[in-house]
Amino acid sequence: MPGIKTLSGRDSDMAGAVAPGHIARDPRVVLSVEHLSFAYGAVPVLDDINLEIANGEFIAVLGPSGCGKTSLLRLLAGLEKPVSGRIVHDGRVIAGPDASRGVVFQDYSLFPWLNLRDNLSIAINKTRKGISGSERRRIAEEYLDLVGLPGVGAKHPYEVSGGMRQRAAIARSLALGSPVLLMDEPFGALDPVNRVRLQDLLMQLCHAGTARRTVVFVTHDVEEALFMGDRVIVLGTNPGRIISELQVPSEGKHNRHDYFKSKGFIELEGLIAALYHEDVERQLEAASVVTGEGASI
Amino acid sequence: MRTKNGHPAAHKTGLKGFEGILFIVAIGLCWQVTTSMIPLNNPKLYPSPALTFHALVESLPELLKGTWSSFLILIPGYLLAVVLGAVWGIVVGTVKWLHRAFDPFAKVVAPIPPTVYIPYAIALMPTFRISAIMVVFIGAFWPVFVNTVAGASAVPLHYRDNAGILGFGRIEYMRRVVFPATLPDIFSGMAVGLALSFILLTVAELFGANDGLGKFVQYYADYADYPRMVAGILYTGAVTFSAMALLDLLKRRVLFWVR
Repeated sequence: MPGIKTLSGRDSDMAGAVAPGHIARDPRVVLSVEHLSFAYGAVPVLDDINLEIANGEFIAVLGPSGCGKTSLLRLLAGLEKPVSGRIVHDGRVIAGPDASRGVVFQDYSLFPWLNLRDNLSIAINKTRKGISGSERRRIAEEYLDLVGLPGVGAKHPYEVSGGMRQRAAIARSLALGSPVLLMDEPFGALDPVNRVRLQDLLMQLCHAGTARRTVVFVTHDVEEALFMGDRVIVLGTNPGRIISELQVPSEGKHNRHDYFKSKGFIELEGLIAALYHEDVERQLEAASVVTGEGASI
Repeated sequence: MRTKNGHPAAHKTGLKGFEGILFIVAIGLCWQVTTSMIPLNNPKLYPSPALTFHALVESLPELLKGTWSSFLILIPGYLLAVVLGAVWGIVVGTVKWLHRAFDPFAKVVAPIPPTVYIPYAIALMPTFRISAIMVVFIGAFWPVFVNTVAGASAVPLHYRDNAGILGFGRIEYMRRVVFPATLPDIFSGMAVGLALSFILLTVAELFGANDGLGKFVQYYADYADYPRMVAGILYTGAVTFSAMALLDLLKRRVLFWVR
């Protein structure tokens, strides 16, 4: 199957396809996750995650609820500390959150007491020191224009729709100038129409042209992952681990309707379904082994 | 039964929303009826509404002067308590080791009824006004502080996450995130603190003031001028109510974003 690479069949010309655990030598690699494990107390969440992300790559992290995909994103952001392993960003081990990795959460990226303009303005204040308040507000309005929110800067988050809030949250991370954008199911709470609109907007802002942004996009929606991602990281559950990495061909994505009917898309969708089926079977088997042992004691 | 525009029994709901006013009117009527109907009533001890109103009008200049004198104690003491209680509460609620250090002390001292400080404050401070300001300050400080600490130590995780992503340092985090996020709690503490301030103010004035609302009531009670005394009580109630209403108005304005 062309364009499909699983862990067992890695291809060395693929971006970030260095054998797991190697320190990034590829100059294109901006983020490298090395033997990363994470737990909440005694509950293991992520187990030995190895991943390399190239500059300008759009990575979709796909997985069911509870597979630790949000934890992986929080670890990438520096909001959680790994139990073991490390994440290297531009040659430096991530020790905490900073503005070089912007995050868009599902529905709480903005401060409710600030209007949209001021929510952006505090981000601009961080990156462009010493500019006047009115200049900051002007730049904030420019970013709001960019995400399709002209003239609503004076509104507060509670006064606008969820879609508008997510647009503003995207604008904030663009205003922050973060080279890496981390998104945790950013469109998960939106209605289908707004979801499609925002997917298109994000593609247009991050994925088109020469200056591509590096994006890690967490979702549980297979369609979304395959449409948005250059590469899809498929996570399994109990504990969360990478069960496959799929390279997604970019052909045909300009027309969403045709793309979802294309042979490539249907094949990948089928493969993902098979992977999850396998993962569920493996877990059922593991569970029956445990109960079997329990009965024999 | 339905009225013309289809609303069921709309005429029945005509008094809806006015229950509070009606109750106050009923209390007033009761007052009038009891003072005029009870034959053994001593109008000096239990004055009628008319007599009290007359006393109120007559005493108004004195009451206004007393209000001013009371506010010179209440406002500095209360504002100092709000500012220090909120600032120190945000710091203690955010910095974990400070919380561990200060919390046991606060738990012991905060529940002491502030009225017990009054005699010592009067002995300690050079003037009555300063000692009363001190008592009001102590009384209002703890509710503001305790509420602020509770709010600041429970700032929702996602605000903290956003502050981290924006690269806020500790001071910026406290100023831009913890302070606004804690404002609802600060206002709860301010309301309790304000009510307590009025209690402490009037009690302190009973002890040693030459002027003020508490002093007014005490003075006319001593001279058995109960119409004036009752007028003083009602007037003090009105002032307290106005101050609380003003605080509530401020709260609504500041916390417009709370849903």
